[in-house]
Amino acid sequence: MFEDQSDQALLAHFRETQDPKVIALLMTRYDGLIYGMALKWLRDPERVRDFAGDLYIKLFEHLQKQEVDNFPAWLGRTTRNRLHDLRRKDQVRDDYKSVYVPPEAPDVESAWDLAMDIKELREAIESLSDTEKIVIRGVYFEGKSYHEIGEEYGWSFNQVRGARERAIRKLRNLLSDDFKNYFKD
Amino acid sequence: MASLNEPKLYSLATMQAYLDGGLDAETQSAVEKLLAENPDYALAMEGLDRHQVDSVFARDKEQKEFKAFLTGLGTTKEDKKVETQAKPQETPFEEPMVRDLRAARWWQIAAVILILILPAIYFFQKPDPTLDQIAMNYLEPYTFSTERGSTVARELDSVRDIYNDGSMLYKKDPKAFQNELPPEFEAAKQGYLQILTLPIDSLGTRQYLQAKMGLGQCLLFQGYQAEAIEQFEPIIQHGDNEWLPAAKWYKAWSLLLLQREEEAKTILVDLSRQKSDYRAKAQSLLDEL
Repeated sequence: MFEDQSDQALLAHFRETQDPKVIALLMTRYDGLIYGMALKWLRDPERVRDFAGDLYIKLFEHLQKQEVDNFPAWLGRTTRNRLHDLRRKDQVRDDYKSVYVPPEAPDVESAWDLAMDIKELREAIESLSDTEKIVIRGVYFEGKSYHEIGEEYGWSFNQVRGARERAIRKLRNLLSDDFKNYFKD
Repeated sequence: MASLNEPKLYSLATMQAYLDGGLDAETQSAVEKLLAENPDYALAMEGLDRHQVDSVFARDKEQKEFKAFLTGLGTTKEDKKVETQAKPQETPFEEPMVRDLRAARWWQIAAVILILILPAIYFFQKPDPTLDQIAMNYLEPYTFSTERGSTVARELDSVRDIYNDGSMLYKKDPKAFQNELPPEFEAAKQGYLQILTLPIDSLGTRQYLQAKMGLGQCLLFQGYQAEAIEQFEPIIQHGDNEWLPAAKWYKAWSLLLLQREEEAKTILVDLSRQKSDYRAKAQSLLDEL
């Protein structure tokens, strides 16, 4: 019954009726945006579903009183903000753990292994092309998104994506299993 | 061009199709514009791109579960009550003895009908095999003939031998390699990639097409169907070569695994009409589909 209606018509109908089906339908329309953004931060489809449940409640509360002109842009912002909140909570939990659980003291042998591993990793990264190096450092060591790297160097999304894929393929061949796991996604 | 606020562009189906290379030119260009202009959209696409799953089937299952979850969010207690009410209700009251007798008579009639139609049900209602099961019966790696090539092709021959070793191992026991392919596939892929960095002129057309075929095989069995199609395409475009029917067959399989069944069927129909080793297989696969 609602499927053919525009976002604006649905939002107006929701403000009038508070029908929860409208929110579910809007979220289904933009399922790629929500799923992809949440997957980028949470990595786990089960956590993504939990997150979508929370987001549904937030949208239900906000959209009763708020008028929205550009729904996809607003939904992107709201999803990002909710994910930031979730990340902050995770950070607090991790900080708590690090304070109250004493870390194991590394023995001499594992310290030596670590030094060797870092050398191996550095050499493998040095063997990449300049573009691949920039992308790998950006994505894995500086936590940048494809978009941020693209903006910085004037590359398209697909150029960054392609460079990451090529670099990962090379690194998987060059590195031992421990590091292969590090670069698995 | 489609408006950048078009909901279709933000759907999981469209975004995944973009990553798999399955969009028409107009939608693809709209998606690319959005990627450049909307950082949240680019972030979402990156999330989909970097999410690792064992197979396309596992990925599709996760996405279907998410969609089902979203659809379920709007269902209220009242909706569930309406669903329950819509189910046929039991007759409110009858004398227990009469009801038992009626039920017994109905059961006798039902039993007779069932006995009569059971063979027909069995014949017509064989359970539909899943794509996984069909693939297990039909999809196996190509094996190259082992004739020796010229000096130029010596490198290609050794990569082909590595690939053939892997494909033989796989064919002997496909189930054993469902989770991890023989390492020869990766080694051969790297070899083919290396060979294909040479210009076609120095490689020769035949060698070029053979390397494309080999690389396509490695990619297909490693789960990179969209990339595999890119390798089979020049073989099909070239037209007159010994790998043409095989390239069509494996392109059809790549499309099937990408759930682009209609495009796959078009190729299979074409294969089933021309004389080749794949004619009977294509016909039989079409029947199963």
